[in-house]
Amino acid sequence: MNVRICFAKYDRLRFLGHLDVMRYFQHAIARSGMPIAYSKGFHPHMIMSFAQPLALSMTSDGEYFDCELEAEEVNADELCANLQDAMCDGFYIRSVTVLPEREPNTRKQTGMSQIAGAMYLCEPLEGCEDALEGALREFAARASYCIEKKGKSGMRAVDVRAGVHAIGIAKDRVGDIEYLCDDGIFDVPATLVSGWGSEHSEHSLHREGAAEFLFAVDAGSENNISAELIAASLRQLVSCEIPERCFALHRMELYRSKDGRMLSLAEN
Amino acid sequence: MNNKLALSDDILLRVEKPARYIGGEINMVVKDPAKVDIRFAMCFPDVYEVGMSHLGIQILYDLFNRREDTYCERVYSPWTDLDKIMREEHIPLFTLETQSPVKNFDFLGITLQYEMCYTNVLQVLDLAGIPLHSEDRTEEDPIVIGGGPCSYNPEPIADFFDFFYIGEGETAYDEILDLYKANRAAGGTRKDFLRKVSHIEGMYVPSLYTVEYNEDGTIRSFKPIAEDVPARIRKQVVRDLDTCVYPDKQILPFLRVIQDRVVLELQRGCTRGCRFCQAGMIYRPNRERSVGHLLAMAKTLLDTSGQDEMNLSSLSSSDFSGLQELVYAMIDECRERHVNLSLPSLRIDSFAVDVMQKVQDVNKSSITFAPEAGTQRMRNVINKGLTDEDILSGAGKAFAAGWNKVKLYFMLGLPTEQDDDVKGIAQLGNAIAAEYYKLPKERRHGRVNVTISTSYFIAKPFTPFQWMPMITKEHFLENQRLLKATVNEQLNAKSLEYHWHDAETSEMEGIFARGDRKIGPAIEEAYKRGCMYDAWVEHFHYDIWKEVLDKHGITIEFYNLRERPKEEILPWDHIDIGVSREFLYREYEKAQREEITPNCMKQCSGCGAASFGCGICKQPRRKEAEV
Repeated sequence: MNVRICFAKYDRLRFLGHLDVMRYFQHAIARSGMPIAYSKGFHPHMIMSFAQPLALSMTSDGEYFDCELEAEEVNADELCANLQDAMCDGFYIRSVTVLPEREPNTRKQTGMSQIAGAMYLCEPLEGCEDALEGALREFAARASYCIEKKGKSGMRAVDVRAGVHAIGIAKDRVGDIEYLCDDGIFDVPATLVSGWGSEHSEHSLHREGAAEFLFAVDAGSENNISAELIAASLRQLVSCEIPERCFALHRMELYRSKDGRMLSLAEN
Repeated sequence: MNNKLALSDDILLRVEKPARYIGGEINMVVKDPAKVDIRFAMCFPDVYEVGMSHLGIQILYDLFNRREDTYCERVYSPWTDLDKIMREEHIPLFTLETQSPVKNFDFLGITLQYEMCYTNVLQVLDLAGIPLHSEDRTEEDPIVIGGGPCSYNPEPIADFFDFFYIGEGETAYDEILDLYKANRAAGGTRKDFLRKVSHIEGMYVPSLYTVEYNEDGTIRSFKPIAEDVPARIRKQVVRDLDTCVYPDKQILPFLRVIQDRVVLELQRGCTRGCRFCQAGMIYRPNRERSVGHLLAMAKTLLDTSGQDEMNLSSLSSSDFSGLQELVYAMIDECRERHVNLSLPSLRIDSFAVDVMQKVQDVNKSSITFAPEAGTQRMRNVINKGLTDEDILSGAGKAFAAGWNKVKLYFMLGLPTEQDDDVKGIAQLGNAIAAEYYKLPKERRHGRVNVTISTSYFIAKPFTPFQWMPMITKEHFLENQRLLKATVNEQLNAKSLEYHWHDAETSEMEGIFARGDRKIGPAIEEAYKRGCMYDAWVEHFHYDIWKEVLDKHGITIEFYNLRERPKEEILPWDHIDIGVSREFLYREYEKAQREEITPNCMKQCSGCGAASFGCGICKQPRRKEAEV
């Protein structure tokens, strides 16, 4: 059977690269006693597949990996608690979900291949708030905004604006979110405080009273609008001098597409 | 846990592998620094991935943190990219745990695992904002302690340390820390503390000794400055490894480090008595852990780490008396857990081949021999108890079991070496390859691959070769060429591959290893002129070192190339490792007569280590067949 694990990555660990995160979870799974399945052959490895890598220095509430278990039945809550016990500060297990059995003769769908959307928070760093808010409003008002992106075969233009489905702004972390646009594909939150977020909010990097920009975007292999791409677009729209790194970036969630709507990867 | 990092996001994004500097690993100890009396910064003066691979620091980290009144944190050398930024932006060196400046600590303990880290010691002190010289430090500065194998001849770096802890760390640190607290409570100064520390066995406070030199640069006298300071410093030894603390939770790095596995220390010391080997002498007597204790330790370590590889560590695993029992019990435990078992320094015999077949992939792995010398005569000189017959029959067994890769390690420039000994290396490689082709064709797997590696013999203190001259770099390079040519002449030349090590670093290592206090100023100047990470070939600046040594009148002739007379006072003579100078000299003479000395397990040769009253010295000797 397959399970999907959703975890958060905070604090110091935002400087841990993707490969090190994978290694960390291999060790954590061994410590937790999870009955994970191993591949066959002389060098067996744990059967696990990670969703989208997170850029260095970003925090996240929406990291995922799927793994195959050597078990007929499992208690997902117990797995979740045991795995949480094996975590070090900065990693939090948000949920463990048993994935539905695959229909016979269908292709295996891992978290990675299902990704269709993502939600990001971009927090302007001190001193850049006003300039970036202006840029945000201008960006929201446009129908399209193209930016050069380095792809596999050189630079190519990407329409960042077209890949953005909702833009919100919260003047501080606990306040209501004002939506500058929302095409209804994502279930967007009315405030930033979620049930989970409040529990661990003390671990968050975010500055007290800082403004937060929320973006719901296309993600995955077809049209991936990364948080950095959005940050770069807004920075281009600012006319005055601001530092190259003008945002603290945070991933809130990853989504898959179902019947024209975006569903959290944690939902079956 | 305080989550404020010492480095800004901007800097962390600019440097290679920022995870080197953030701490927060599994099993890292978290304490409130405000609630402890003593803050101890433990340093390995090399980059994180090297330093985190060292078992000794894990042991001491655990030992210190078991004390409620002490918080031990780790610090490593910042890599060259961050080093530059820290100097430009005046960022003080910080510990990983609390990310706080090292300068504010009570102690800075630096482990000295190889001579080529000396400039990194200065880098650490400098970046921390601690005066480089012990004499310039004030009550505000941490007490700087050195330990590890290089502290057995600490003279080249004596000026930079407040004291050296000679021997194994488990035994005396409690007394030192208690003394520190008592001295502070009584309003005592740094000087008071160091004087009292010198009364603890094993503690060497260089500032309490004076050296006088003869005109030729040799030592005329080495004396303590007062009567209460001991003239000789006797190393600390753990008597019983089974009852001594061992970390049941080892810090598990996020980054892939050099030794990416949990380490199970089988034993300390070695019974073989190879005459070039410092570890074989300074860690005497050989002491084993019991198999029951080791199995329980192994289980705990795997439980608390989740690591997928375990390394059985020892200077010579094959000599560990419970090896078969331990390994067969571990193989099953490891298989169940999907853990790989690695057994370095294993003599290749039927047992080893059987174990390797069970734990390794025959197609991918290679078998390793360290004959160290190419001829039996040369191996008798160095007392390496390994015969051509042992090697050929071991290789033959491994070939029959499916292996077709062999690695061989040798030294060039050993005392009394002749051209024939050099050529013998190639001939031995050829004989091993020939052994493979004795197998019927259908049992071979392609061509055999024999890799020969040579390094430059470096005479080390506390070995029978401490009086011996080393050869010149030019002679060493000639030997390399001779060996290369002889390899190419062999019948199986196509199956042989030859690798060699850099000679320039080795030459410098030789000077540091047997150096005296006159070397210190040269190390300091080389550091100030940009030398750092000398152990890394790409960062080693031979030209700068050469200039600095010339300027300070330090010659290779004096330190490396001269035979030292028996009566000469050696810079490390005031350190007492238990093994007597008389024994070492007897061994030096036997080496010249090409006579071998038996393994301690077979017969006691009266080296002096029995005075510690533990380990092999107190056990009945084993029968011939078991040795």
